[in-house]
Amino acid sequence: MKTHSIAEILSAHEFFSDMKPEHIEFISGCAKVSHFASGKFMILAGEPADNFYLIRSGHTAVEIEIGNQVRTIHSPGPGEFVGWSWILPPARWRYDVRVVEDVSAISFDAECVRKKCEADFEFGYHIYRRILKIVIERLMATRIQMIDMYA
Amino acid sequence: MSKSITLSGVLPAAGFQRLLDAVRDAGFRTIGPRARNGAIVLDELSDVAELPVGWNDEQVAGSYRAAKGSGDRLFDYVVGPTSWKRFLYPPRRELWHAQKEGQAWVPEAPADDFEPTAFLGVRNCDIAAIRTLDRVLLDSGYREPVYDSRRSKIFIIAVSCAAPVSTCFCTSMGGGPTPTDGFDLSLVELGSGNDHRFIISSGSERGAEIVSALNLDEVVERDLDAAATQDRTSVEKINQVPAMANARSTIAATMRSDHWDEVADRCLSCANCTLVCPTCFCVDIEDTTDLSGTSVSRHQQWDSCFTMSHSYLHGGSIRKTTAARYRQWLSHKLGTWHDQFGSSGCVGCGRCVTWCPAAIDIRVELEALEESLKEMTTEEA
Amino acid sequence: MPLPMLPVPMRIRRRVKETADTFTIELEPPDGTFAFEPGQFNMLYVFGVGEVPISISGDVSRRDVLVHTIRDVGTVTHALGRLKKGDWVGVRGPYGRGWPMKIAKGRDVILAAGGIGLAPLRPAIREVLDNRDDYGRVVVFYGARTPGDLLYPKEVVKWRARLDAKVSVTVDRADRTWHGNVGVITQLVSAARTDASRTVAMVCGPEIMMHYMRIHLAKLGIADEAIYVSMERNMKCAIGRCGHCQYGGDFICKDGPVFTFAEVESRFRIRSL
Repeated sequence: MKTHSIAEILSAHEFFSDMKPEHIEFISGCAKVSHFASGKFMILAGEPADNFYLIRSGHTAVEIEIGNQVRTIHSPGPGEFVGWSWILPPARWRYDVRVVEDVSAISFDAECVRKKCEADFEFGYHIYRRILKIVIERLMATRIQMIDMYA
Repeated sequence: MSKSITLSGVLPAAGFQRLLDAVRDAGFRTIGPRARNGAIVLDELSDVAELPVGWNDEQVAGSYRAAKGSGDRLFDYVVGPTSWKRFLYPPRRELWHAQKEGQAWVPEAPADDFEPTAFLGVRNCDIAAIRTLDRVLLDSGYREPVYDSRRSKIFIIAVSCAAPVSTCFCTSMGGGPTPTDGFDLSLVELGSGNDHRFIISSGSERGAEIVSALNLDEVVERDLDAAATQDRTSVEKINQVPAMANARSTIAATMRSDHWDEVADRCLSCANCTLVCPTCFCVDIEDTTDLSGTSVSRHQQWDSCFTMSHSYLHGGSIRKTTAARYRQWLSHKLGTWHDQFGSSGCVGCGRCVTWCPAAIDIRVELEALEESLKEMTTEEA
Repeated sequence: MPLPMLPVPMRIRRRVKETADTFTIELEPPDGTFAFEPGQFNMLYVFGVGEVPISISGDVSRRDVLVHTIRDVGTVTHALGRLKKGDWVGVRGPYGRGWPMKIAKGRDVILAAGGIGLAPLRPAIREVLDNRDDYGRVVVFYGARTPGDLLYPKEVVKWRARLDAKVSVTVDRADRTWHGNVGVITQLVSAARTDASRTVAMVCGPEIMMHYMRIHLAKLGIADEAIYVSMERNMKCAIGRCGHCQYGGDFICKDGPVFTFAEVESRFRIRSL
């Protein structure tokens, strides 16, 4: 089986489409492959947001504890990014993300990406613009979820 | 009904009873205009004296007055609150009933006992209304059985309008004071006193047959001139509503106009307009049970898009506001009716204008919509 | 005199509780056969209570049984819910223009249902899955409020197990006992991977759900003319003359209930229509 470099994997993802090769090359330098076993937490609310993830396989659950109940509000899977709290200070996680089915992900060093965004505004603009697109989609989805559409 | 119209002759007013008798002898009971509680309504009659002889009416938005004057003419008023829809598509009718036997039951439909009936004094707008109902209840892929059966049992005696009122606007809906089609017989009332007479035309073979026994006088030039003058005078009295020509597109473009909210401030959502309208066809279905719960019946009855229940869906109404309900009525009548049945749903009889307690005038509202459309277009430009 | 408003009494031969507020009844057509097309509906009458339009949820190839899945939302549906095996229900139908099964032949098909919307779409899904070779790529999306609100869960598991169709289920809210997707149905759409130019999408659910689904299907490049939705309004006669189901210039009962999105697009933007 042919193994792909991280840069090759990222280039194939919609998020990085039309991004300059040197930018992809750079962000690949901030990334490594990580694995999480089912039942483990990839992210814990309150902890520093040091990494964020692009899931390659497996499933996760973004959870909130309400009283004595745990509610899943979103379930990122293959091709989806997990974690946004790293972008802006205080850079601490707001929700728990639990692994529902063994996850293989590309893990990005948040500090590394943040610094590059500050140092290279063009790079930062492209990253922020793409993140904004995803955040808008999430916001739309959350709004639809909020209106209890199937009632 | 044959399409060819024949000028049959002239009947002196003194002989009008002979026409009523001939219609009765042909097997029809007669329903026609009668004065009741200060209004001209439609009901059974057999004697010429039962007609509103000498009556006149005055109609403006939100007001109706009918009174007996000093004249002797039989048809010098226009349409009252009743329309022929009441007889062809009655306000309430049993669809079927059933008796429970064990757990099972078999529905049975009642027979319709409508007798052959002559409609006397049918105005041209109401002929257009019957034709409009025909398109809804007979020609849209499904023949409504009771309407169908009753429709085949009626004999239409039309009359030209000689005294239009301010609410009349048939000429803007493709009509006019003189019927040109869709009747068995048609009358033009001329003169008064010793000169009081009717020109009779027949529009069907059975119509021609009935009048052939009346020994009518020959129609002379003088009669035709008088009829033409009367028609011209009536046409001049009837309001022209130029906005009607573009009603369909105006409405399609103003469905989100705030003018609907403005009308809603005045509209009482009372449903009068829909109940007096000769073409409104909405019906509701009602189920009733006897006390033991073993015998049931289903009725249909006239409904109105002004009721909250009309648009009920899953525990609530779609059209909760008066604005939405008024818009449904007007946009259907003048707009989407074209999509559904290939014509406007309005015949210009003016009943909805007269009988609106808030004096809302469909013509004025359409003009206001056209105006709001102009404003919308200007703003965009 | 022909009287199309007369119901045909049929006996309930089976009743299944689906969710907290939905149930399925199976009726026996008196002459043993009832033909319909996916997306059509019947008027169901409860003796002395009234009549409601209910979509047909069974298999088009099974003519000996008439299947209806019903949500208890009003007087008549509540009365239907209290009927037992052996009781009688009056049936008129089938009525309406259903899903575009003929148009979908040979094309990629997306079938998307929200909530109780799976009930009217189920005959189309079964038709497609039972004649799998007649279609290109087949994608089924199903969204519900919670895992407990999912209809036909056993059947959906069977659909998901098929390798020749992509079947995704999602719920708006869930606790830890649910291992599937959480999120709105629109989030599933980007994974459809059909050929947009030859895709037919059939969407059934509340208007707001169909509205959002169309936005996401459009992002894939699927034209409004190829997106079909099933509309709903008050219905009393089902034959286009009681006036209640008017939706602009259409009567939902006879011109629909299924329309292309292109046909209804302008009306979706008019409130309280």
